[in-house]
Amino acid sequence: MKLICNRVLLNKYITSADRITGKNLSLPILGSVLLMTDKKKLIIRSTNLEVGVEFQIPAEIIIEGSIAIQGTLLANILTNIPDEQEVTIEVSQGVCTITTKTKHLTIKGILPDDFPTIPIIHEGEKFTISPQKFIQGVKSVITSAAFSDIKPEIASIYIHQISDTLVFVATDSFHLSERRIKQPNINLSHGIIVPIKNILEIIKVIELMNEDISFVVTKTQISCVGASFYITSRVIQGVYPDYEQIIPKTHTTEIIILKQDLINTLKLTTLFSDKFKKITFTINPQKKECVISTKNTEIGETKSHITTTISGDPIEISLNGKHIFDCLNSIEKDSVVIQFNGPDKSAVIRGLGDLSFTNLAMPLTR
Amino acid sequence: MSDNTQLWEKTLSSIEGELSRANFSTWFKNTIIIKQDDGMVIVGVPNEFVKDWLQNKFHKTILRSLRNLSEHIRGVEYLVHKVEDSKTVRPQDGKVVFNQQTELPLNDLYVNREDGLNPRYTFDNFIIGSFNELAYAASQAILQKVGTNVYNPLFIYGKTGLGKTHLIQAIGNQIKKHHPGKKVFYITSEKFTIDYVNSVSQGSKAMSVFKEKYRKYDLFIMDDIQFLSNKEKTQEELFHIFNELYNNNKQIVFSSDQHPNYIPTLENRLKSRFSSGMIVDVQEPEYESRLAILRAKAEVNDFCPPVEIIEYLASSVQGNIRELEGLLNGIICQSQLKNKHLTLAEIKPFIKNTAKPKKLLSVKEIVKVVCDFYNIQEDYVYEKTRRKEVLKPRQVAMFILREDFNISYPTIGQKLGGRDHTTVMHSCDKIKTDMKNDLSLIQEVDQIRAMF
Repeated sequence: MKLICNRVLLNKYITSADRITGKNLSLPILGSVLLMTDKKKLIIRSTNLEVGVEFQIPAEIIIEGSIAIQGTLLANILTNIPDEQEVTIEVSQGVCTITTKTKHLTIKGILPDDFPTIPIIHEGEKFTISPQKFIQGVKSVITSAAFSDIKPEIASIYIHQISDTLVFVATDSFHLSERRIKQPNINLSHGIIVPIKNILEIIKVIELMNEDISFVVTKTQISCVGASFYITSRVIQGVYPDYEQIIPKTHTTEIIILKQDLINTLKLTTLFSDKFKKITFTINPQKKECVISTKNTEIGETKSHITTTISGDPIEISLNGKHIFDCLNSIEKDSVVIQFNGPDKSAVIRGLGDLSFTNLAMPLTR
Repeated sequence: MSDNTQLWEKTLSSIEGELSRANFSTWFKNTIIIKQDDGMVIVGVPNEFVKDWLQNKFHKTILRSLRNLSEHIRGVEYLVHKVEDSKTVRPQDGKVVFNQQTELPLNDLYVNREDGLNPRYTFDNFIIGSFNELAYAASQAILQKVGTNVYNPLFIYGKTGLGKTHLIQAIGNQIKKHHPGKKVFYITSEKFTIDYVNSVSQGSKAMSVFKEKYRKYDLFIMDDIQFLSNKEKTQEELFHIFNELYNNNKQIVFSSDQHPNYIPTLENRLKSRFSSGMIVDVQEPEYESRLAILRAKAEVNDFCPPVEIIEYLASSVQGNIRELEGLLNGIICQSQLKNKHLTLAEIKPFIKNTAKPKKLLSVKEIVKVVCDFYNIQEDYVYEKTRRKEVLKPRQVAMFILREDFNISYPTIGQKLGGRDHTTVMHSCDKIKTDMKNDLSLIQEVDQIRAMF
């Protein structure tokens, strides 16, 4: 195998592919990336058997062939020869030689015979969306997902369709976020549950792309295709809770706060919160008063009055401050609406007049 | 099932020798034979990556090893299947550990929208005792011989809260697991009615969609069929669906709180069809079963109360499993609040509060209820008449006074027209013996008891 290609492009995709290599698996070849020639293109492939990715870059192919090389090593080499524009890669008898104008390196490669193929999904339901929209959808809910693998269904992001919106949902069963993104021409008959680790890898890859991305989904697999890449991931075969039922339709108390005010107050109050990040809202509509307080026996306590529009019944409720703080990042509006349904019922947080993002938080007891 | 496991184990051990350890464990971990069908072996694999690789790389090896073991095998197919979750480790030391934050009530919502089954209801967490073993055995027979019309339809009846829904949903889940190709559908009769009414109101096109929809299933489960009484058109539609499914050897399962013959205004043609299969009842659990149920429920909730508490609960609460569960939940909640295990003394008042209050009734009132039921004048009971239509109500009244209200024989005799206590004893014994043979008497007594 012998080829010449652009170093910058190669570096970018090798670094990206290396993220997906299987670092702790018993099969050592999974820790490497596969380089493979295909007519006028170089194909870079890596997989950890959860996610698989393939990039294609234009290259001048002199002799066809393939080799598997330790991904991290190759990425580091390419990063550390920043002045070079072009690299020549030559493989003979399992040894890979990288030559530039001034450098000459040889690396031991691994025979590519045992390198896994990655499943190509041909049949399935397809939709197209811009990478920005998809990334926004995932990022605005990801902080609510569960991180432990005990319940794989919720250590995931759930993507499904409601009329002409694509809906992203995540929950760790204590709080829940839902983001709706308008996207015409989608026809998904079932929702898909993608493990959070895998969807983060997908995002990292599609971040590099500018063009619209086609998704193909089946009950077992999701894949994204662009002009120069292909990434695919396992999806969870399970049932996502029918969460829509638990989003309250009514409320007994409602407050409207300027988002920046709330952020500033939370930054201050969370300094004093305990390990459960407990902050307490005390709302008194008669006095038109909303107080956010925290108490920590080891540090001290805070009390902040904030300017709000209040309607409904008086209430005192404790919530997890970090959860609220996280979800504020996903709200684009300047004002935030928080709706309560009583001290032991979940609270709903949204942007003012904006139903595209919803956060549901359960109160802390005691 | 065990055949498949054995075959696959042998196949794997012959493949293992040909591959490096790393290769073998990476690609063959969590694979099983899901089923064999006419020489085709369906191998379940954990994900598409493995499927792809086995197909491209090891297909020949696998096929050859399988053929060596069993000659009739023609081919192998791979199917991505769901790997069973490994059991989570439970805290061993019996400490009560609870999170401070309440969870969103999501757990009850893991209901599959396509087939209406709740995956929580499986045979793994189904407790079998003498009270439900017949129903369980019938369901197992169905599972072993899907589509052969043994016990078709299966009709399960019993009082509320005895696990009927759990059992019929578990049948659905089990079939889904072992026969991934079969279409299973669970619906409550109420939902079925709503669906029917909606289709009627939307016109003929919706109606034909409705008719088609229910006829494509291999296993059709309908819960709480007693709610179909008085809904004649819905019953008619069910009748047609029933016929269609039955003629195509599709399994049908029903549940109800009463024997079909006692469901009021159920059409005769449906009744007779229900009787053509198997009708089994679920009784109230006895002490040992209650104990087992409580233990299992406590374990699911990660709650390990002392043995004597579980035993006390099982002995003091009669009947309904749902009530049992409610009580246990109450106790779990109390221990969460207090952050320690409750003692027996703390639990006793708690049970008293939740147990049904027994009404205090005078003998006269009870006799009146019995007389009203048999439609005779109350005075006759106290008189010295031995007419047959009076004798039976009198004896039933004595029996109920003795059994349910614990009134002494002499007192009963005295209150019911100054009779001797031996007369009363004879009456009670007679009713007791008669109840062993006379079904209608059992029902009469049950119905009278329900009035108190």
